[in-house]
Amino acid sequence: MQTAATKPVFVGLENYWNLLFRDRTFRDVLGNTLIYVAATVVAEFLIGLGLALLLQRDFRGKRILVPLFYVPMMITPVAIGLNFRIIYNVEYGPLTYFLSFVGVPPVKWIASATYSLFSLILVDIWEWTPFMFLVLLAGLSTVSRECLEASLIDGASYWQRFRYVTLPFMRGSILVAVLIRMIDAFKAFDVIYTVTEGGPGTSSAVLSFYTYIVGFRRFSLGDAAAMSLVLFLIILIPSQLLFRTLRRRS
Amino acid sequence: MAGRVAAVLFYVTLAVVLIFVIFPFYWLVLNAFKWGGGGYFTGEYFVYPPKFWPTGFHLENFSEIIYGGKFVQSVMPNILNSAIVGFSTAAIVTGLSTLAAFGLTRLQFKRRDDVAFFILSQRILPPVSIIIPYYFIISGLHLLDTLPALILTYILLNVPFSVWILMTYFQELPRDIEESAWVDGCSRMGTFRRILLPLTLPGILVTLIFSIITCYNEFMFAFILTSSKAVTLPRAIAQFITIQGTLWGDMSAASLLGILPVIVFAMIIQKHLVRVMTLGAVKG
Repeated sequence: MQTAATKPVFVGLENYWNLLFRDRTFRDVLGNTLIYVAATVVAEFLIGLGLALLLQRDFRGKRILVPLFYVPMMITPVAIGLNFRIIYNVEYGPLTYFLSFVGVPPVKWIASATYSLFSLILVDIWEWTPFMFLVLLAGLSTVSRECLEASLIDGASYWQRFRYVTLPFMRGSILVAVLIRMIDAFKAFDVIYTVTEGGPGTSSAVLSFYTYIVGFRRFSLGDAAAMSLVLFLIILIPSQLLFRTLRRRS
Repeated sequence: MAGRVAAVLFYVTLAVVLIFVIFPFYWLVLNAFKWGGGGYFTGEYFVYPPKFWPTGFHLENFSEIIYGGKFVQSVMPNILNSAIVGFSTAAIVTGLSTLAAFGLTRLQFKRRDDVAFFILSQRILPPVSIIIPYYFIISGLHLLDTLPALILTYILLNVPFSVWILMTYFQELPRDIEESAWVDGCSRMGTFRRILLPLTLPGILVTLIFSIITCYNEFMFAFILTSSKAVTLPRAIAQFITIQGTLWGDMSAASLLGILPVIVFAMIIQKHLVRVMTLGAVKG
């Protein structure tokens, strides 16, 4: 193991070997990361799409309501994280209080290994669903009215209109929104640091946060560097897809 | 009848969504105005059931974070640091990106698109994967815990998407205007200064403001690269979590103070935010 104090020695692929076959925590953290990214992106996409479809029509108060959605994703993530730390507090937090109405006993949201990752996913959903919603709302406005009307005259059902008219028009904005969110979810750091610090233990650590722990708290620089390369390689996949989409659009 | 049921359902759904969006924010504001008596685990924060309305609008938390208190230092120097870093970074980034975007949309050279995508690729890179070597570079330059280190870093973080957004604004301008300016004897830089710049000014301002917001919110690099003198507001807020406990009131007051300018900035450019955040691919 190489630390900041010792002179570096060439070790070939040893750091990667350690990660893949010796470090059990790394495997857990990799699993956490995949769960975190998949759960947040899927939930944010579905809720965002539902909201966009629901709120695309004009109604009273829309011009006040839509800007409200900008607030969660613009405000300082550290402030969001610390605020949720209070909301999740098992003894005095409002979440425990609200859930007691529906008979849910107090849950140690961020202090138990079972729920800590889930708690982080909820914060991410609160923070970033507005992004999906706003992008998809903008995408919906590009759907051709004439095509929708024509399909209505031809007797298409709501589902058919959505599937064969709306979705094809929105393909580009959906791809861009999902890929950007996916890339950024892999980079999550601020909220994780402020809500759970990856804990208890490493139960809610994801790859970007675990790299920080290994590098800056354990000073195991070789392992951390190897890990950051693994993270980079994973992110390359959605990035390439995003680049291809952007290239096609420009 | 069915129409009325649908309308009721619509507004009920809307109300539920609104509560979910607003409640955490409301809780933050509320906590900023509650008062804990200036210590750990005391006051209105530590009662069950939690109070959803303060007993009085206390301003003690704000006075503590502005003037310093028993357990907290004033965050005013941190706000000043954040402002210096945010504004200087945004100014430099916007200047560089405008020129780069001009070159990448208006000049002909080999592999132009590849250069543009290489610049964009820096936006994709997870910062944590460069932070270790980066820390040693900054340390080698003796810049740890200084504002220039943060400004330098935030320029690197902000240039890629700024260039990309500005490119989309430049691409939208029809070439005809520039070409007629050339015919009238305007030089290349003359058309840039007299025609492109004025016409893309809204886009340039949006980029400027968005850069300020991202600098203002950035936590990870500030956390790793600074320790006392150059601490920015997000890092100062995070310091309210201590081993003794968390000072909920001070932290909420500092957060509120910290996010207000961001909300103002975001509201100014709200019509452009979708476009900025999707790298110009979706026009809001």
